[in-house]
Amino acid sequence: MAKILKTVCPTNNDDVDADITSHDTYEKGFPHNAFKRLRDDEPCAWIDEHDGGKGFWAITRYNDIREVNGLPKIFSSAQGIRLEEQSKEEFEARKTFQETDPPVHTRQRMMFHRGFTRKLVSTYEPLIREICNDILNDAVDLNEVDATKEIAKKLPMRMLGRVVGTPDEDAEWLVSKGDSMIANSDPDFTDHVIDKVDTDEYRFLPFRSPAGREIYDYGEKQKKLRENNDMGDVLSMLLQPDKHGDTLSDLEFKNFFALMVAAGNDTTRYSMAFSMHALANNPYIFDCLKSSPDDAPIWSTATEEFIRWASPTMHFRRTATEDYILHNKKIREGDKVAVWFISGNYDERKFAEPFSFNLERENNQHIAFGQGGPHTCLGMWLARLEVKVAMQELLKRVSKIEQIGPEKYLRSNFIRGIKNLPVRLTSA
Amino acid sequence: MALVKYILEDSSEVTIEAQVGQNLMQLAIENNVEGIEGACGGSCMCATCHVKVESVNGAELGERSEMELDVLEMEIDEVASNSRLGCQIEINEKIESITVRIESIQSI
Ligand code: HEM
Ligand code: FES
Repeated sequence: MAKILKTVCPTNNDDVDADITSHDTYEKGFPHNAFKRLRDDEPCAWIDEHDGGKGFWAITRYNDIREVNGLPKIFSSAQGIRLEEQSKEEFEARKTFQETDPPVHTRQRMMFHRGFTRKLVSTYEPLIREICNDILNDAVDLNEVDATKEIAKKLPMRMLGRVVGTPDEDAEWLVSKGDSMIANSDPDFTDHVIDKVDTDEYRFLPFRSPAGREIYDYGEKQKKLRENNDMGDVLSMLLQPDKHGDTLSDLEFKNFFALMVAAGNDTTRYSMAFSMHALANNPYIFDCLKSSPDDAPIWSTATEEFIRWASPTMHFRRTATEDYILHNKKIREGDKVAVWFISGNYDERKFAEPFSFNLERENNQHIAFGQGGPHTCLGMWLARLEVKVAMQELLKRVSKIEQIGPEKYLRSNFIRGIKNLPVRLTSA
Repeated sequence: MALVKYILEDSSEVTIEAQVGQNLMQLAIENNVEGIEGACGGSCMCATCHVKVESVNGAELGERSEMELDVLEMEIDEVASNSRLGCQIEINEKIESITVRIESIQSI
């Protein structure tokens, strides 16, 4: 059988002029043609915003994204990482370590990093595998399911919770709060749709959402539980002094907890959803993986390809701290700059046949985790493991996955997701 | 200019000319060398640029910094005396050639 499976990305053809700032655009699927045009014709493009925003530069080629990511002094995260405009007061009230630059960032990042290294995360593999049992068995029993709702939505928070040490029974609540913090532009996930309802009174809350406040309180409770009580989990570990005797402040911990719940929830969910979409639509991918044992190298390359293919975090924002020339365009001090990781992951200049899903893609240096700079995803080892194990366990339980209705996409210019994926699962 | 030889995990070799100021992670990414992810972009945080230095001609490499050692110990199962973060090895005027073996940690 051919090694590379040609799969044209699900795209509509009339998306070449799509408004890349509009949440509505993404409800129709990612506008691949619009981004291809930007990569080809205007790799550093000024984009106007229609919601009162000042506009931003869109960086869409792989090499340029890595260049910008690698220059945090010039392309700062410390003035915001989302496109929305914020006053200084709002920003200060809501900021996490993701909204800081080195060297301030470095200290906190390394404190948190202790809990998410590849070495440590890999020891949690058996626990993560165990969690699949109930959720996947239930889904397969149901036969016809929404694979996002019944599988992809449930697994990540249960897995993350097991690793960091929050109780299983809180996972569902954490999922819903994580969703209202991040998916604040899709009415299916929040009552406070950011561009439709007046969310002004929430401006000072984490993620501009009342859910942010609740997560803060929950995080504080978790911290209290661990005072003078080592629970042997990642949260306990993070609350210990590091080898230099440094400790996290109350606020640092609370902010981190909210960030973790927001960041480790829907990103992994949609990576799983896109993986299942590929499995349901391509018998070749399904057969190859189903016949591969858990430790076969193809599972590593497949996992990277699933995550490249999904690219759930479409962009993050930086702010220029000085003038900078890129492709003959002058980015001025104070301008917003968006690095479009998803566009980099489909850049023909970097990836051979980017629109083909290649289970054995060699040297897959995708940037779905924002690689190339200090803010590269803290949870990337956990996310990789979660996606791999979930797909392995799913394939062990089914002989066939068929998509039985059209998928629905999330309304968001920030997170790319399949929010409904109707499938029939035939048990093995 | 220096010659950098990467020995890949399948034992094949790639030799690339490096300019002064480039580091071994950057050089690998720019030339699509397999096995170096360079996730943190040279911020000395991730160890996805881990290499073992086999030989250096022309100059000695400096000592590993405390942070480099910390990160190696956090991420690598067995840190060897020649384990280095590729992003922390910068080509200078004196280095004529350097050979490193890639020990990738991209997959889990
Ligand atoms: C496939 C799943 C995931 C994807 C695609 C993803 C993507 C990303 C991206 C693109 C960034 C870079 C942010 C920037 O450039 O400012 C990031 C940062 C981050 N991610 Fe993830 N993420 C995933 C899963 C997770 C998980 C499971 C966690 C849980 C711990 C997590 C925690 C974080 C944190 C804390 C940061 C901020 C790091 C910093 O600023 O130093 N992520 N992620
Ligand atoms: S690139 Fe991250 S430590 Fe070298």
